[in-house]
Amino acid sequence: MKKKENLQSKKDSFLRYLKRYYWLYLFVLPTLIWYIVFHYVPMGGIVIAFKRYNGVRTIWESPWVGLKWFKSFFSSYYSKTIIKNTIVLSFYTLMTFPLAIAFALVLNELKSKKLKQVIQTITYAPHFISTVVLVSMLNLFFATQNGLINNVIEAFGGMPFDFLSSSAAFPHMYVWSGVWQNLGWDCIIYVAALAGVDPSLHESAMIDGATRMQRIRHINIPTILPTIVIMLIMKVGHIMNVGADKVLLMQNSLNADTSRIISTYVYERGLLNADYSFATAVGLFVNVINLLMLLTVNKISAKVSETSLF
Amino acid sequence: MKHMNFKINDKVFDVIVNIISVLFALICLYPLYLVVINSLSDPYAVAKGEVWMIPKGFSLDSYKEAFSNGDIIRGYANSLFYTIVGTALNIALTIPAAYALSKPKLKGRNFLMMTIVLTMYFSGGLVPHYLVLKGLNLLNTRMVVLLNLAVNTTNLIVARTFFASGVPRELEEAAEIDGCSIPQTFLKIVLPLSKAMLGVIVLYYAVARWNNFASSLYYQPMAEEYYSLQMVLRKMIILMRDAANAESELAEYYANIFNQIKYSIIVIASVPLMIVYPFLQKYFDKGVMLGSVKG
Repeated sequence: MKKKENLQSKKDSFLRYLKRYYWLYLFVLPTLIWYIVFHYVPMGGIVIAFKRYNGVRTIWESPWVGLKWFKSFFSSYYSKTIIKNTIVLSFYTLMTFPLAIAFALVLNELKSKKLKQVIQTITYAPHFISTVVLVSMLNLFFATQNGLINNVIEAFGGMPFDFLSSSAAFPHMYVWSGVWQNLGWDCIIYVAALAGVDPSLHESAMIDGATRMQRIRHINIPTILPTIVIMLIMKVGHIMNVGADKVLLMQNSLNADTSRIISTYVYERGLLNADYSFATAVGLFVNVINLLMLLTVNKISAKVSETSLF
Repeated sequence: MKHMNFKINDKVFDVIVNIISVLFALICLYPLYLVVINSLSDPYAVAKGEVWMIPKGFSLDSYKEAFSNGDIIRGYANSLFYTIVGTALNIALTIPAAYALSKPKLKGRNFLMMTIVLTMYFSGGLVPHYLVLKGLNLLNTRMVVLLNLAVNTTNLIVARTFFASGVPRELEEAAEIDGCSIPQTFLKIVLPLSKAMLGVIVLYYAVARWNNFASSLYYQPMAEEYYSLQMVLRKMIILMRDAANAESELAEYYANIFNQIKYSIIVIASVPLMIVYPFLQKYFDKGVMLGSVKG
């Protein structure tokens, strides 16, 4: 008897909960559906990497082929170049990572708050222009005829150089235009972290006669170290994930030797050639590498510096 | 003596710091400035490469030319549509969900959060994504641009973090006691307190929408009439590049147009950003802090 009453009251309180809080579920539902359709259903689609799917038969009906596509990718003569190009671009980009930290430290030393504000406003700006506009600007400034850069080179008696269709120049163009676009923006997070430095640390260090360089090294940098580590982990977690967008815009037949990377190759083979299964396999390979890198770096960092993403 | 050294060092240090900052700001600013002054100069002077400090022979011809180009007008209209409707959709899918996910009363919210955050680290990849859209008959429609990127996980986390910590719980509880339903509390109490965060999220989304070209490139390959302005601009770059190699008539035609309007179209494609930039600026430091690195 008592049990029944208990059950009844439990049911009542559940109904009361539902009556008030069903809204929370309604708020989440559309978003959840979106995540399922646009993220989880495609994850299920990964099976075609192990099948021969050509869009004629359904995924279900298509025959299994095991690791055929992976083998055919790794045994192809261009796979090495493509992987190498991808790694070159991403490591080169990663190497410029300390620049944002350095610039944040510099900004932090500016005595005039007004100047700091102005500099920040200006240096954020390039972050907001679109990739298409950025590449258009590169095309204009680095053109062989009347490009600003080549005009300067010629003014100093040099020979014009075709930056836009040079395999050798491509990685530099790609990385440094990225630095130009994102350095100001990337340093916000460090500027914010530097604002949290305890001023009394600086005061006592000054009494002890520490120079500004010493204070930066022994106070500022250690304070923002956790932020640096987190940012580094996130970057490494995307190490193989060099986006296709900008590279596709900068790519041409003449610089393809260095500008052909995994993501542009997936686009070419998957969307333009409709080699669905093959391109999915290549994409999956990248995804798995990224995930492994992220987990590894995260683990190492958790051990070494006690800072980790999760 | 030692003290004086110290002071001189300090001065030198200040000078160096100032020089580095100003120099980098100039490097950021000059290319943008160069585009603007070239777009405003006489096309003839531009073609000869004479414009690098101040506009020469002020002229709006290249803007007239750009705005008489059908592709550009249509691209502009499409981009405005994608930005306005797309951002509205972004907000509708991000903000209420973020609010609900910030409430401990939502059972299974940790699981839901995990489901959402996982997509930041693992995805099906381009082709499976494409095939799903194909299966839904969304390819080559306007809808595909709107629905693709309808939620940005980082923005969702920013909003959720804000709701969890930036809105005083007592206010919400008081509203609940007064008999407000959840949507009422959300609309009348919570949202008005979240204006700064909303401002940041709206602007982030709007900028991403305006600048997006990949959705068109991947998912509207056959629907030029739906191309965003960025895609129109891209088409011009590519055709101009090809004109240098192969000499097709169409490529030459585009190369000609592009030569006249190459600077003004960059300005045109960036004007909406320049308009929102001051507003954005106001929120930057706040906004980024809201997110914090760890979601």
